[in-house]
Amino acid sequence: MLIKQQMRRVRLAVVALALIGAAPSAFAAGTDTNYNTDISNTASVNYSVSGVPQTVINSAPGVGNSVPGAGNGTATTFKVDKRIMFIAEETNGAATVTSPGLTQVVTVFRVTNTSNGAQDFRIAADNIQPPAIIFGRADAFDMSNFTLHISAAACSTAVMATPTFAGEAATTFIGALAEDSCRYVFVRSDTPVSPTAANGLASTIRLVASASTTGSSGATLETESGAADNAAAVDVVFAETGVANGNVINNGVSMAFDQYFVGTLTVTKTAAVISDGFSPVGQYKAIPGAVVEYTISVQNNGLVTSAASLTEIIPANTTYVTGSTTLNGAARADVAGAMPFVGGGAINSPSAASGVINPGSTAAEIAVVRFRVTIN
Amino acid sequence: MFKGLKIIGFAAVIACSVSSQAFAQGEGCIVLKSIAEVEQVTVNAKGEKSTKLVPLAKVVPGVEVTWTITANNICKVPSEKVVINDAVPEHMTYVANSAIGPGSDVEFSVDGKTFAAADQLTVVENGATRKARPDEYKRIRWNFKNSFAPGAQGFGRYRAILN
Repeated sequence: MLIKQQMRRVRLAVVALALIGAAPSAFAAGTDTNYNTDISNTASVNYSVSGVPQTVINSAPGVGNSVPGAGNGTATTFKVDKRIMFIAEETNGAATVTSPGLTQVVTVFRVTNTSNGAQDFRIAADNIQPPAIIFGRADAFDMSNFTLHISAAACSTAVMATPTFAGEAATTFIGALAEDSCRYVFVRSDTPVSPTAANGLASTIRLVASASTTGSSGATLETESGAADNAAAVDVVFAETGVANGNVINNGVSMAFDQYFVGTLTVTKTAAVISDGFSPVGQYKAIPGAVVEYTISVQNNGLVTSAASLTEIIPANTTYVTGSTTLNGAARADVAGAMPFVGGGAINSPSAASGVINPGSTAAEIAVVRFRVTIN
Repeated sequence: MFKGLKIIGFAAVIACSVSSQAFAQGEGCIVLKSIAEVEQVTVNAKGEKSTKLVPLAKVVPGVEVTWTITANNICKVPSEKVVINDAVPEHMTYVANSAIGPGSDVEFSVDGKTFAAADQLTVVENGATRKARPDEYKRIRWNFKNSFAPGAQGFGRYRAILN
């Protein structure tokens, strides 16, 4: 008698899980001078001629000033330039579970602006890979149809969270993100069908945040100005410092990576001869009249299921032992005198509602069906 | 009996005629410039560092700006008791020990009224008097010890960090 494991298809419906984040990042509140602030200096000089104090003279830039009087002279001024600092981060250190063919599956990122003033950021997602695998899983397939959405949920730079997508509109940029504040960004994408996406495979995706100019809605990226300062205008300096996952400092771009992980149901089936009418215990042979017990274990590696249904067949050359079927150890009544799963029947995790198999690999979640046949 | 004028009130007459207007139409005796620059450090092939002042590049929080105030005597008479005054600009913080002014005594002030040398300037905090910290200085002045001869120049310089 061959004892083998088989995969069987079962029907399932899926529900998205809400994942809880736990990766705090702390930023000190900004006291840095905002860009576009004018810095101004007017010096003055007092002096005497032949013992007589003279009217004060104020300074001027360039060739200077020699016209006396407090109302004369010109301030030496320059504008504070933009120091663009920001980071894009994945929020919860774990992949988002998906299943083959599931569309618009959400991963969550956070973008934080620590520039010396408000800044726009273009956001985009793709299948570009980080220099090393994340979450211990290699990338096995691509996601498609990326859309990005900015969460309406409050974002704190002190505590990392993972909010739930609430139907926010798709967009391509974050507008005027205030200094020392953040926004959560949802990336939604579609999972390919089986077998491209199969149980246990992962897809790593990338979010790219790039500093973009005010009012361009993400269309125009910021560029660093030439070498000399333009005292009358706000110049740009890129100063982001992140180097994780292949990020390059001071280039106006921050990337973060997240992952989708395909979890489906796995079904294993084993058979054991439990008596043959002749042999001692443990030496049973598969001979006519022997009783074989089948054990089918269904484990959920993915999202919570409902309406899980098992369909079994009685193998050729065997006869079902009536009343021998159990689900999770409890008797399951025959249907019309036949094994109850021959026409398809709901199964569930122990203590779960009918049809519900909870994700997990312990006895508390695995649905176990047993039935017996005799060999003809 | 003497005939003739006795000369009295001599000095007063002379004093009245000395004013800034006497030297040129609308001009005083000092040309005052205020310039903002940054220090650029270069290291030569031997590893020796040299510093020079260059025009501002980008100025963002954390950048140190060197302010130089230059006074030139453009009159044909000496300028005496020359004092250059400056306020540390708003949004900037004075860099300790950075003020120089060849030929001058440098004084600082926190409240704009009391000036003293760095090691003597005090503030009162919670009823107690303590030495003022350089990051608290709001004003600086350079008191030049000698008169500026015609055509002579002096300067005051200091660094401040943009907050």
